[in-house]
Amino acid sequence: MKESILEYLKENDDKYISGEYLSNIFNVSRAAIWKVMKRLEGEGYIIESKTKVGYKLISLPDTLHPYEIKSSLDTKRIGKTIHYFEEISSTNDYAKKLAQNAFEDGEVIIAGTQKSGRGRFSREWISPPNKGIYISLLLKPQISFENITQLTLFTALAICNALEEYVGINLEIKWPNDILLNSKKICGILTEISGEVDKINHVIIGFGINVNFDKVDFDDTLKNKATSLKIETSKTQDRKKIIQHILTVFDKYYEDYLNGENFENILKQYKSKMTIIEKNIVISIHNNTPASGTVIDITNSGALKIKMSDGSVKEFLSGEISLNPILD
Amino acid sequence: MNINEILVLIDKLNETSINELNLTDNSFSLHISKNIANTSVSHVPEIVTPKLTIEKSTNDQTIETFNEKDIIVKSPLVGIYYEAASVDAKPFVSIGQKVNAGDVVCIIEAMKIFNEIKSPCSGIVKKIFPSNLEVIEYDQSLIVIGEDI
Repeated sequence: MKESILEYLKENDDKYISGEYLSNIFNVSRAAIWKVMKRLEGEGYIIESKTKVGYKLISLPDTLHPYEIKSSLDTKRIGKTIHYFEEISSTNDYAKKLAQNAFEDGEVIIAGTQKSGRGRFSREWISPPNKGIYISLLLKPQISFENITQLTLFTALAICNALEEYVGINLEIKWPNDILLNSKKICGILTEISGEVDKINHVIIGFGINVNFDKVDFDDTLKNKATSLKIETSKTQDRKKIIQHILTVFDKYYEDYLNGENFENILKQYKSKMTIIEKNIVISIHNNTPASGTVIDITNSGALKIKMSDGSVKEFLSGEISLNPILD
Repeated sequence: MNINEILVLIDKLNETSINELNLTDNSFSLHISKNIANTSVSHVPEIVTPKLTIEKSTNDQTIETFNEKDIIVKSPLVGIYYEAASVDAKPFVSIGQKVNAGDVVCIIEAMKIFNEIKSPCSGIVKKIFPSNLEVIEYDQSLIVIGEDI
């Protein structure tokens, strides 16, 4: 009922609606209507109430409640079920728990903040409350392992395209899936899967986007490497709308992926977001000795095709890359 | 030749089409043979029962026998082998450790997709084939899990 009343207030936010009128159309007591208003206020909605006149919705909170995300979300699979937490250990960890039981393809987990948000190799991911997007998608794609790495390509591209379109900025993808704005990181993706040779049990795509982080939110080790949409655009951005945009674009790419369609176009767009093709780079896998060479291309599985210093051509599906400081 | 060298030799041999090898070095001799019936690649199951045995022919004592009930966990994808969840963490499994079905034994990563490889059964870890950060091919053997004693 709360959600229906909220929808009604949103549709009529230009006038006051009396409690009596609301109690008639929703067929509940006026005391029940009053309780709903109090609960909405508790969630951060600003509702003006005037004696003998009624209620009027003044503003929405900057929170990511499922019904806020779901209203006007036009997707086929993604976000039909949304789990929201003001605070959680990590959205990926929660998704893993959900995956132990039956779940729908496309469930979404969103948090206001994460107590132990993590990136790759359990590195800490900072999650200042209500300033970023901390989200995981829980999927069960019926695809073969052979094509699994394409997930990385279209996920990065979906986030990139949605942000560019909505915020009006130019972004860069750092292979394979970091998203940079003005050469600094604004989004990281952590994909964790479980499956056997012939069957994928679940895929969890978690990502964090630095939306309204202020400079003080980054410590010394991060401030030269990371930034936020707010810092770069000098404007507070609407997290809810950004999520809706990303889920919508992702939903479309995911549908194409499951149907084996549109991949050439995705790959072409992905390559156009990369700045390292034909550049000299250094690639390293953890503490192993780094290798260097010139990036020739990206293969259909997303691998980096590199002409090595010794003239041989190698493909890399893993590693951290950086521009070669000696040659570039 | 020590046991580790023999195991490395077996790994290498597994990647070739050589089915049998005799090796003699002073008083030591070694015979390794693959069961050819097991090398079919037309249909590759996730788990196969290994039929590879190593025998030290000098005194006919078995150094290490993988028996028929052992389970080899194989990689479902190409990627990097990670023995632990993070650089500082201790490895998921070590030789001689007991594991339960569903326990994570390692991670294979490709394109930043982290695939937790789980044990299909309960048992004892008898062998770990790759070393940390090694590039793993599709269907490559990762870990041997033997019967719980």
